Amino acid sequence: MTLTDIAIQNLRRRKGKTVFLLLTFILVIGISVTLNTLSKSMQDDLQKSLTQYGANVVITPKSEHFTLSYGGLSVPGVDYEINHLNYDVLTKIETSQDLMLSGIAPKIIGSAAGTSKRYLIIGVDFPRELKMKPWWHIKGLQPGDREVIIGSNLARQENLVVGSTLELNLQKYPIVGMMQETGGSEDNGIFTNFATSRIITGLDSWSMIELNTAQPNVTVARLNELFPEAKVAEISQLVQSTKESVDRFSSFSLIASTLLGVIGVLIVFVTTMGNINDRVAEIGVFRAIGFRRRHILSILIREISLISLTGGVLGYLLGEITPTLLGPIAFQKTVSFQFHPLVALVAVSASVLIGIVSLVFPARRAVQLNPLDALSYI
Amino acid sequence: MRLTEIALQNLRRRKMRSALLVISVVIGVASIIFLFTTTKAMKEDVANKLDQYGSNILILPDTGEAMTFGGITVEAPTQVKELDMSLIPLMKTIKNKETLATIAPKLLIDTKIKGQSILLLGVDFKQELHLKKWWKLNGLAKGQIPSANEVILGSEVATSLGLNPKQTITIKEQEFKVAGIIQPTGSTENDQAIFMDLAMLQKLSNRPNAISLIEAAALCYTCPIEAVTQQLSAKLPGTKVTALKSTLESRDATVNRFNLFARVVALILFLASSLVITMTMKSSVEERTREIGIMRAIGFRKRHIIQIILTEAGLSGSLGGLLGYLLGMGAAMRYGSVLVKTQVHIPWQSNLFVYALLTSLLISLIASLNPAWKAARLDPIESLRYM
Amino acid sequence: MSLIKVHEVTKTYKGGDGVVEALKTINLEIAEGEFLALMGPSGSGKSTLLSVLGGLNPPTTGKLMIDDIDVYALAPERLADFRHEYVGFVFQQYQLIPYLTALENVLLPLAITSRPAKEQREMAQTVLDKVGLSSKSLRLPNQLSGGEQNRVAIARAIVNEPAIIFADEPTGSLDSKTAMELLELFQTLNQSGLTMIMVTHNQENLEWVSRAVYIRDGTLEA
Repeated sequence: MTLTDIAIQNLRRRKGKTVFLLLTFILVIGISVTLNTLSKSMQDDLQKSLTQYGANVVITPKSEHFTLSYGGLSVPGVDYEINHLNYDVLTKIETSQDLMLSGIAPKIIGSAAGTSKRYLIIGVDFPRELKMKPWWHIKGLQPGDREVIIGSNLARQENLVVGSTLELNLQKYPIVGMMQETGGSEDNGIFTNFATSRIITGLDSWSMIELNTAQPNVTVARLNELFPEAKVAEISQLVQSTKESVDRFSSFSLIASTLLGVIGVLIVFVTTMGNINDRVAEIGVFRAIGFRRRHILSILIREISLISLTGGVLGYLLGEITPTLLGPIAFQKTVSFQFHPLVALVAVSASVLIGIVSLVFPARRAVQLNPLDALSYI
Repeated sequence: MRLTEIALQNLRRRKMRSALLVISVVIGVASIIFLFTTTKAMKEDVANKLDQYGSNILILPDTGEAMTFGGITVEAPTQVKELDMSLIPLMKTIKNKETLATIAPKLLIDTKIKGQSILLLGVDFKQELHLKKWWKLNGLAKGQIPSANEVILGSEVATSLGLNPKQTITIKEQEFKVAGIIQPTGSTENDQAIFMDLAMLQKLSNRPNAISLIEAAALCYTCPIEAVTQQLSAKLPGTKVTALKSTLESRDATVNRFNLFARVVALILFLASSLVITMTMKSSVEERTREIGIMRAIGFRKRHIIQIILTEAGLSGSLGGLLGYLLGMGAAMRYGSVLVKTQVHIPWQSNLFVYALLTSLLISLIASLNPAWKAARLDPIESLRYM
Repeated sequence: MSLIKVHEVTKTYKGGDGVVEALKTINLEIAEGEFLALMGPSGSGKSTLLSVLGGLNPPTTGKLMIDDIDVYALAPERLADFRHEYVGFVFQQYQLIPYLTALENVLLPLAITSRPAKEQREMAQTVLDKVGLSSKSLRLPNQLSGGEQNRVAIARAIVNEPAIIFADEPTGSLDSKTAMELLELFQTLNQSGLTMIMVTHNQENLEWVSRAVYIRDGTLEA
């Protein structure tokens, strides 16, 4: 018989205690890995959904003059020159493969005379636009040919409702929908499709193109090469705020995971300590028979190594499987099972390390006891 | 000697065992309390930070908006109503005034420099820089606020006028030093304007107290933005107060994920703690099978044994719950904010005490009930052989 | 020539109500090959003396010499080695390791030697045979009767061929027939050259031993 045999027999024959210890390790490692996987996948998800949120790159015509408006207000009494982008800009964007675009939304922006005042006309492709701007909520229908929808502020000021008609440049257009308040310049606009907006405004080119891309800086550089005649800009407010949100989420999840990890280590410590505490008398027997402290420690370390190793491996697997089950429930997203060798290695070695460290302190105390005291230890 | 005394004696004599039992409950309860309160504070802090990232409320005159969309202005109105400075103190009288984190008034004036019409934006620099955290400024150190005779230039203006930081520019016959140049932001409003001190612009343009619009950032974690805009509309005559849905919805997307993550963490922790407490209670009862056999042998009824075990479990569970609550809450108040780097203060939440105590008591009782029942039902001779 | 020399040994415990003097100045010599009985009423200090003699319990003052080794002057690990080499201890509660079978319990002292597994097994089988338990060698302690557990404990004590066997009330919980068998076993072991020291309070056991010493209130009686 060897010391290893003693360790194995203990683990085998005291199933309850073994399972208890093993479960603790599985639980702690499993939770840490789960959280790690989950937070990574949620972070990706957040990054993706925020990046797709709004236009982060815009292409506008180059202008000789500076804008004189801010926040929907403008310096009064100034005439504005109107510049345009050619139609082939859009074709070129759509045929370029290397732009990594997830949304392309060209617009025709112009004005038209109504019965008493002038109106802002915006021609858009609704399916594309709504994908990029989830904060647009439309009551009613999307406009077809010769139909329009109106911004909320306009509707309120002019007492317009879905079903009314609007006279623009001496033509009547039925209002088929209304955009709920956005707080932006949309509230004063009249929206329609490209064909109708061309008829109303008389413009036959794009006023601007809004883009959504996963990598704004790369896209901007590439577009600048493609269109030296246009102005391509990254919307830094959006890009930076996305970065900020994702950074905050990652530090949040890191802190939460760290806290949980610390708690896990504490739990392992207490459990291991309890296990050793229950075995002081047994340690006394070994001492009485003439086992050296080293012998006893080596039995105990063998046991805990076996348990923490098994617990680490099972915990890692549990931690990888749980998110795949939890993902669809927690955030309507499937997380696929993936084997990460590095995570696995870290999880298993951390498990063994924590196991051994948490054992050594109480075990050293127990083997230092006088054998007779140990034998009568409660 | 009564049964309660037996339970108490056991807890007292087996100090190490009882301590471990209580400690496992303490760790469970304390960690949940700590994590729950700090993640809540962190969530609030993040929500506040995001709310202050750009404005989410715009206050405009109720008429005379320009026909502008996405930075492209089609037509400007012939005349615009102006607001005045008296609105700002009025804003601070609304019911949820504490939610208004930043108030950035602006005056729009155009001027001609080197033959070009350029927009002058009179701003309160401190508020403006607080609002526009995405600005990267050349020439201006972080946290530095320009003085009244300094200006900040949009990138396109600076390029067009050929100006660099520290150079001077003459605006309306007065010299200003260029304190900084904003790196391209992609928004014409920022790239094509000159930002200067509000009071200075009011003086230069001879329009004391006039402002064109107010941008504000409201913290809408505790109070819905609709309520704030309504309260502002009611207090500010002749204005149109709108909430910017686009920034709000993106903030919601982030905060919702925080919520979800925090909830998952709390749930996992709760399950784990219950499991640990259950396992500890169970093993502590199982260890005493022999002792239970002795009690049975000297004529204790099952009921008596269950009563002793439940008394012990209840006592250590409640003690653990109490200590855990104090430890968790104390640690959260003392270290929570520092640890997660939030500015949100974590208050003492006494309602959590009730939950902590009841839950730990309940879990302890349930956890020891099954092994207690099993041990009590064992044949005394059997349990005496148990090692 | 004495194998064991006890010189001026005292042992005091700090109890709840002051200091308890378990042993008051004990002087004793035991020769090699003796079968000694330590007699005395309960609480007299006989078990304490036995544990001091067995190298398990350092005395407060005084010296224990075994085979010219000052036992309690040894460093803790050397003391462990000493116990391993010289001492076989049979506890009153037997103190078997609950998760090891009878055979494995007997194998325990051999586990820290460098003997090959096969030899270990043969040695253990031989002593189990000697105590008459070879048929139950694969049972766990809780599947054995008290007398059987006692015999496993004795087998464990002698397997490593120590010089001295210490036994604390070995017949205490046994019926007279089993007790008789056990004492016969002890006598056989003693005749094969082992020094035996046994704590007992049973006068009937005296006919088996070569010498008896009486202890009362921590002092030896002449």
